[in-house]
Amino acid sequence: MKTTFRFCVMLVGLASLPALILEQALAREQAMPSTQASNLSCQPPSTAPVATASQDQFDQYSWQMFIALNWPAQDGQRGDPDCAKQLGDPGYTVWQTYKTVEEIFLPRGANPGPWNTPQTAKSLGIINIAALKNSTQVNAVDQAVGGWLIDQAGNPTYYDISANETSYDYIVNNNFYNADVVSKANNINFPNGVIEVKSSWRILTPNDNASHYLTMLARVATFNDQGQRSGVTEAYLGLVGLHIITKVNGYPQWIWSTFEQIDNVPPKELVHGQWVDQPTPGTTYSYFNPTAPLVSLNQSPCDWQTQGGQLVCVPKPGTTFQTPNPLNRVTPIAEITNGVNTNYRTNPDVQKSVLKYYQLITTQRPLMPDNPSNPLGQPTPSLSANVTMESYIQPNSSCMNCHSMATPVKSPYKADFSYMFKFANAPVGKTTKDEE
Amino acid sequence: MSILNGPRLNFWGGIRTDVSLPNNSPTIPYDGNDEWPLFDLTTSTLAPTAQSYTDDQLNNMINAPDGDYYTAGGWNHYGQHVVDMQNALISSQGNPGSISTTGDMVGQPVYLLGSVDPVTGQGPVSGPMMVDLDPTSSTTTQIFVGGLQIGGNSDIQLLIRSNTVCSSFDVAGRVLLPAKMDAPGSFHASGTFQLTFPLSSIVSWNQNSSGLRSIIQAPGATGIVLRFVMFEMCPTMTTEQLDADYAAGRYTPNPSIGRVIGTLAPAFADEPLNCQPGRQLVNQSTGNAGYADLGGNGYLSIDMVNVIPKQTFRAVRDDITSPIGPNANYGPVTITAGTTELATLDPTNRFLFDYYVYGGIVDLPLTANQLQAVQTAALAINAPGKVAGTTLQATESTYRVYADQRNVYLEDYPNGLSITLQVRYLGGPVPKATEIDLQAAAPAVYDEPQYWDFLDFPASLTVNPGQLAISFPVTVKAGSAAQAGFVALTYTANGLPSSGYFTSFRKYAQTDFGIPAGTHITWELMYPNVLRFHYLAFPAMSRYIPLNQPDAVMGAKNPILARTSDAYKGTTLFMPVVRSMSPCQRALLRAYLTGEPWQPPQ
Repeated sequence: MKTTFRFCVMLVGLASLPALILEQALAREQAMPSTQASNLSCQPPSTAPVATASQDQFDQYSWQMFIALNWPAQDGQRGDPDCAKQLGDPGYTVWQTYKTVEEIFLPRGANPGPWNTPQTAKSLGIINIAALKNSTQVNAVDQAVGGWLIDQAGNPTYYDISANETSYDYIVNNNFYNADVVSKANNINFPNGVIEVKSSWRILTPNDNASHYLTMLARVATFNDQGQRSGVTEAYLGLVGLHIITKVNGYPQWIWSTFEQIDNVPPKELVHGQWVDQPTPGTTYSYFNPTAPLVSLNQSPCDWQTQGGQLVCVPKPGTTFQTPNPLNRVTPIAEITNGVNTNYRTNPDVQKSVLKYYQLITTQRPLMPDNPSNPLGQPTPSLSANVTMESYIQPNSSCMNCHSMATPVKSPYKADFSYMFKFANAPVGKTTKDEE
Repeated sequence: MSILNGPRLNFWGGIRTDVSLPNNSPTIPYDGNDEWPLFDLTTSTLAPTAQSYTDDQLNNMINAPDGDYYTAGGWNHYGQHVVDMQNALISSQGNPGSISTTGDMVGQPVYLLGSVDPVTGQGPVSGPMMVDLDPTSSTTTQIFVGGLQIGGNSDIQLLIRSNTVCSSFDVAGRVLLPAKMDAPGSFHASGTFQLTFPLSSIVSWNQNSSGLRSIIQAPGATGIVLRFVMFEMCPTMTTEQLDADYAAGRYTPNPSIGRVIGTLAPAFADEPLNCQPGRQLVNQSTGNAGYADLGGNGYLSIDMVNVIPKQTFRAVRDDITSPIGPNANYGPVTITAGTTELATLDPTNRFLFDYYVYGGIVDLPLTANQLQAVQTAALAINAPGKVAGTTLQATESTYRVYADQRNVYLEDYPNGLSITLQVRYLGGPVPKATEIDLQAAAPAVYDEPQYWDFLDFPASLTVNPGQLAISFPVTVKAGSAAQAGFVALTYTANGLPSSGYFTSFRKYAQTDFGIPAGTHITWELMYPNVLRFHYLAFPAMSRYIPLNQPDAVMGAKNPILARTSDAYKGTTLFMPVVRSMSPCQRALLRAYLTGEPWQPPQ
């Protein structure tokens, strides 16, 4: 498919689409006549498998969630699917209509208002993947400026964080958008039905096949070669990673699902007892460089320096902000999960959508969610890593362990596994915003 | 006294302990060298030879298959140190002589809990933590606990919140066969722990429960004591499974799993908190021990849970909740006091055959003659048979020395401490002047004097007739500030090895790391001296806060500062969990996180 395109300024509101996206959607419709999806649900699963269920049952739960969240959204109703539409139909997906942290946590801790406000243009400024997940800043004391991830084309990876209406209502009803309030809260406990999403995006270039990505036009921050913000531009983005966390009855520790675009890094195969990268011939991977020395893989680009009382990522000697950070996958996707991926990706309705170019990495959940002796519940599997988001900490990456440390800004109290409150602002006084 | 004489709740089930292993030895096999120096475990730093390797290289070396048995770093590199009981259900309750398998608490689960956050009051968010004061030795370990719960979360029968620590005793033979299996040699052993919770730590209890009431409201009760033994332990995964798991980058924790048998009872004043009272009988083949006491109720109660070993390890490796089954059958078991027979128990007797249902405790009714014999003669347990080349001969340690102080961190006692020894003869006060000899020695591989010769203590003590306890001071030798290591102080009464008891000590070094006072501490100064050891030895910690990532560490500044502080010391939340970070290391870490000029602690 020809991938020449032009940038357009995104119009405010839900209805307008860049010409290219519409063009591609129409091309898909013409190539594959739409048929009614019969075995995929536009609604997310309301219950999760029992704790003793097998990995593949949880993986199916993840895929059902992924499909429902990627269903075309209802016009004029944020967070709801349009079940009359087909998977892959043009328009924002359900999760793309969730409210982002910028929409939830307004300057000066202002009330962000009702849920169903018109959607604004997408603007992505977060480039740090932050070893301490989600914690991009707000107040200096808790600031953790993470390293960036530069793809093989030399462009940064952008991140966005959003939450569904149930989460939003809980935050608003408790005034937790106000840092002064949430920093004193010692009883944060999200209700069941909460969904939080963290997405990662790369800039699509003429060398990329945009039809293999969920795409989005957005305003993005630009950076100089030292990684300092230099301005903004419009960019055509492709989704490379999606974390989905769900608070479900019976799982006070939540359920943790993560997906990647299939061309991020090659799969691993077991060869003579060793797991080795097996690139598919002819595939250009977004983050993998077959000639990169092994010791250079999965290494943070940062030479951390204290500047103005804060840790700042400075490119290591001999590198710049544009230097690609080569990655591979440390933990191969489990065979059982690959089986579920195959089942869903070959589903005729999924085949009609861009979701066929995505794969589940794993579903982490507590094996014993109700064990008084082990309140963390025994994260299973013990590791879970999305190469685009836990790039440099893959051997030690556990969603549940890390998120169990989550607190609001300047607070010693637990935040129920959510780092969202790091974005809360206080009504008065100086707050340090992320300059990105 | 306590579990022997008071009303009881007995339980049994499974237990898991998830200890990380690489710090058990300062060396690993590598590059043809069986003892390649990796760590200095006395200072919690890397050995000089290891320092030039990258973290990834050292990690791979630790995880490399041994070729024979697990990996170079042991069977569990990713342990989180949590101890939890699995399906540990109350199986019997009642008073000595009338223990029943029916009752209002029978069937309820028993849980040990982690600590509530001492600052925020939230949680628990973690569980009890197993921590070796001396990771190089295998004589004793600790479990830090934050409370106890009977009943599930939706139907709590008893809830206790209390921070305490227990240590293992009688780490000795408990399972005879097989001779070897795909597990560390400790699969043969058991470890027994005792905890005491004050009555004031009870948060709530089911006041309609006669079983609980009999304990909580026992006349004279000052608390609740829990004695439990873990045994038949082995790593969950075999060598083959673990090697495949690590090769696939899954790095799954490999906790040891096994059996637990326990008893809850009232605690009384003048009883040790963490050490079983009573008259000690030692199995001469296995070295394991039982404890006996005369109650005022006419019974001799004997905690025999460990006296008779289990013949064979369970058939299904990961089945820790099926019935434990009887111990080895040596034939009829005869209990005597001197030459007086107290009882002979047939192997089919329910207190032997189903011993685990009853906490392993046997209550023997005594006649007046038998009572007289028990009060004046040594106890013994014998049986005629042989099993796997062993016999059942348990003899009383006529003199017994014991103390609550089992594992001591000297940093907690900057001015020294007082150790109180209980001394008994046939369970009562000594009848004549008794000399207690004290000896200090290296408990394990760090046997150079610099690593253990730093205590000042009396060479001997004299216990007067009728005296039950004796205290003495232990201080650190002048001029030993720079020394770090481990020492075991052993006490022996009248030269009798059977009377012996020991206390383990850990000492940290006073050091400025070669960094001048007033220096601004950078990552390059802090990481090699403080966090690098912990990153490599306990990677599970990095699943919470990646310890090799400056941004993550600084981003977690507040929780790190909090949880390395003294406020958290007695809790399961103290960081690092394994208490291997010295006060000087904590100070260096603090200086890095806060930006304050370096001031080495004095």
